[in-house]
Amino acid sequence: MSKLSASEEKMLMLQHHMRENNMDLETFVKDMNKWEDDIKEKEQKLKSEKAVNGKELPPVRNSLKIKKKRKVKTLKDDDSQGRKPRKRISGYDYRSWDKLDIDKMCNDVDKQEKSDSSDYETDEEWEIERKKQQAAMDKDAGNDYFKRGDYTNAIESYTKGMALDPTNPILPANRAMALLKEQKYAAAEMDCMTALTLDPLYVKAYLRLGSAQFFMKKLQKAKDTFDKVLQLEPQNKQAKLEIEKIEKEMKKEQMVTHDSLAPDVGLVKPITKPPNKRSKKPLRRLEIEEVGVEETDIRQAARSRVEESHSKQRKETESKDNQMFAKFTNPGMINPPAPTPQTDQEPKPVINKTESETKLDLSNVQNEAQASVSPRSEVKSLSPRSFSVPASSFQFQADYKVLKTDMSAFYDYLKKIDPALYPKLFGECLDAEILMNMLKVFQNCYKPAGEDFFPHMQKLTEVKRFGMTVMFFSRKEKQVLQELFDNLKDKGAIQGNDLKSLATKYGVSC
Amino acid sequence: MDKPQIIAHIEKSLDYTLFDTKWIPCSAKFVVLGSHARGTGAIQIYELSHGQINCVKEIEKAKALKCGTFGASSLQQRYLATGDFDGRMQIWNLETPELPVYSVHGHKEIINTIDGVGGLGIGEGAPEIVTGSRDGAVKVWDPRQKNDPVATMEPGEGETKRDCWAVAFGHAYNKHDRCVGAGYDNGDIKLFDLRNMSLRWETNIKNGVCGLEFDRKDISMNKLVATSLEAKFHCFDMRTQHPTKGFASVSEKAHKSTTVWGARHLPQNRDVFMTLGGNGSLYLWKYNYPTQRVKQDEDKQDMGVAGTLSLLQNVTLSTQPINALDWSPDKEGLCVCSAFDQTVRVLIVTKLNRI
Repeated sequence: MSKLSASEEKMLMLQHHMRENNMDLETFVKDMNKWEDDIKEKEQKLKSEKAVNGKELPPVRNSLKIKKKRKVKTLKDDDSQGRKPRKRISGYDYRSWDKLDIDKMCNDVDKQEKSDSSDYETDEEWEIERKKQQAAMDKDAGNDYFKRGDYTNAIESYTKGMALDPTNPILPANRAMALLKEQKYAAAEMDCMTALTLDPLYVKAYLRLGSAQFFMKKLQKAKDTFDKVLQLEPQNKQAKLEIEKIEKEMKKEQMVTHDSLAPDVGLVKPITKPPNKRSKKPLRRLEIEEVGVEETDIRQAARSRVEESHSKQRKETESKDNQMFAKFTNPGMINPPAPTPQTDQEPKPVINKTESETKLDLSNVQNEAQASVSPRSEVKSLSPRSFSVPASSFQFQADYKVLKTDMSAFYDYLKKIDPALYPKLFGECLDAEILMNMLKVFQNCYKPAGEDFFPHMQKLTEVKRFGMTVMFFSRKEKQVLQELFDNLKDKGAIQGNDLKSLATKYGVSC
Repeated sequence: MDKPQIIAHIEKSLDYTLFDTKWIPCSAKFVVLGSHARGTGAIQIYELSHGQINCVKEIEKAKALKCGTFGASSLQQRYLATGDFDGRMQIWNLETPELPVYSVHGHKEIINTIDGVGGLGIGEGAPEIVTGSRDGAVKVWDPRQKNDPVATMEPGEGETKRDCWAVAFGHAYNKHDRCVGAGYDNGDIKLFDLRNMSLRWETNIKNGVCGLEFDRKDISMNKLVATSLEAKFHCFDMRTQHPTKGFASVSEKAHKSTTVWGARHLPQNRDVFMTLGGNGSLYLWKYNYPTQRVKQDEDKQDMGVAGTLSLLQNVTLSTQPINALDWSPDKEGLCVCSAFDQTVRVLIVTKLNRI
């Protein structure tokens, strides 16, 4: 066998490759012909299928940033194009005049005007809608940041959204959550309040509010908040757990208080301090802006007096109230700021004593003390007596602002008002605070004076939103109510049924 | 000797100037866009049928058509978006081509280039069309928004307006992210980030940029090929952006000192692409990744490392420039190209699956 020369070998190789390439091409073309048929079939199938657009497309890019130009539709154009010019009816054509439907023409003119204004409206609405959408996008961005743990940016996004859409309760509620994570509890509390004014049934906002209050050691408030959650959603697990936690915490706090000093029944306003400092010296925080309570000796006297009164019967307190009532002069005393958790849970022998009474007692003591020292506050009470019967809700509100601190003046003022006027006076806004103050006046002024406050209470129920306001009463406030009803029942002047129906309206048993 | 072969399977001479050609997705048909001698626009649809191509539809429009894309249309509709010599961007339903389904006079001068994304199942997010024009502006359109572009990138007041020759979508790998690359006659390449509405990167490759294409539109930016005058093209690694040096690139000379009109990546293999030469030649390239795509500079900043390019095959089909080429998305190795010799060619590239 002769050996092939190099060139011959190359030739053979080339031939081989050419053959191979041709083969490749042939198979490709054959393949392609088959593919052509396949793809045609596929195309037919595609065409016969109906459009199913399952995928949801994102919004048009930047569409939310571009403000829509207001359409200016000129009426004239519409008239000249859309409608045939109405023929003028000649003065002698009586038949046509008979047929003319004036009412219809008037309606047409009205409609035209309406559609015109609605056009304008839709543009406004579009603008609002645009802002809302943008706010929703800010919310989503905020949620994204939040998920990634970037709370600062999340808060910024929510803030932007809130500026765009102040009516959306989700934004402040979410911002509150981010603020909670940032441990800015007071701000979180504020945001929750905002969210709740926008949507009073927003459970999440309550939960966050409760947490914020818990972290700020406003235990009682936190508990009340979670109680409200349970009112709205009786099965809410988180609220139940939180309440348990708070109760534990409260017990702990009590223990600490016990160990250190006898707790003051005075009025304590918590100051935000790091928790480690706070828990050990709870009594230090009792120095608050209270008029007349500053002097420690007065407080001491008050406390001893309170302790004394604890052991006495309620009736005694009431009779004392009667005596002291005339001396009510110091405005700050009747409606003290929110009581602190420590005071509530005091394990004193007499538990059925209500807090408000205790406080009242305290104020009496102080008034006494002060009156004996210097009767300077006597002057103040003179002016409110000159208030006339309010004619409008606005006037009542204004008067109330002046009077709310002075219970006796408020009492005089209320006496002047016919209960039948209540629904008109309160209008839409029966404030829980006003209602509570009125109830306190009933309790502390009407009751001792032996006056009948039943019609007042009955009329109050007719005020709008009354039910809502009562629903959110705290336990303490309910207790005041309960006492009022007990008193009414004892008197027996009112028929049982009437009383009962009223009690149910107030959410109290009778 | 497992080199792919490029074979001109079918050639057809036409009586108008061809500017662009595109396969109709999910079919054996392609459209050819061009300009009649009388200045009107031509759209022709050809169907491949056993070694022949038959014209199945012919449409004449008022203005010469420069470019087209199916990229923003759903597979069901397969609407063709075109840019014409007058600056109009129009979308046609090829079944009923009498009236456009969308029309906008978006540019003052000729639309040189067009690209689409978000349709055909390629690219996440909204369907969008980008157009680049001689008036210097690059505009992004959403077929759902009439009259106004959703984004405009143009030189500011007083700046000289450069002729935009090439645009390309990329980075559309999720609902929000999307980038537009734009190439200009002075060699500028700008990369716009549509999510942040900002310029992300710019560079100059000295010669006018005739073609730009990302290897894939629907992935996080991987590679960008930019072709230019003077027979040069650049391949950028778009994965790693260095704060000062930008993206790493490799450049290559081809097509015998004529313009490289464009580059087209193989839909079935993103590392293989064809470049279109001014001398009527086609070059098939493969990009080889380096062993490490990222390295750190002195300041511990990540920077990309460019790979190498290897020429797989070349062929000269014509004496005139080949101005457009489109790979069939459905059949690997099948492509169609148009050239200034008024001829449309269906090409077969074999052995692509063995590279």
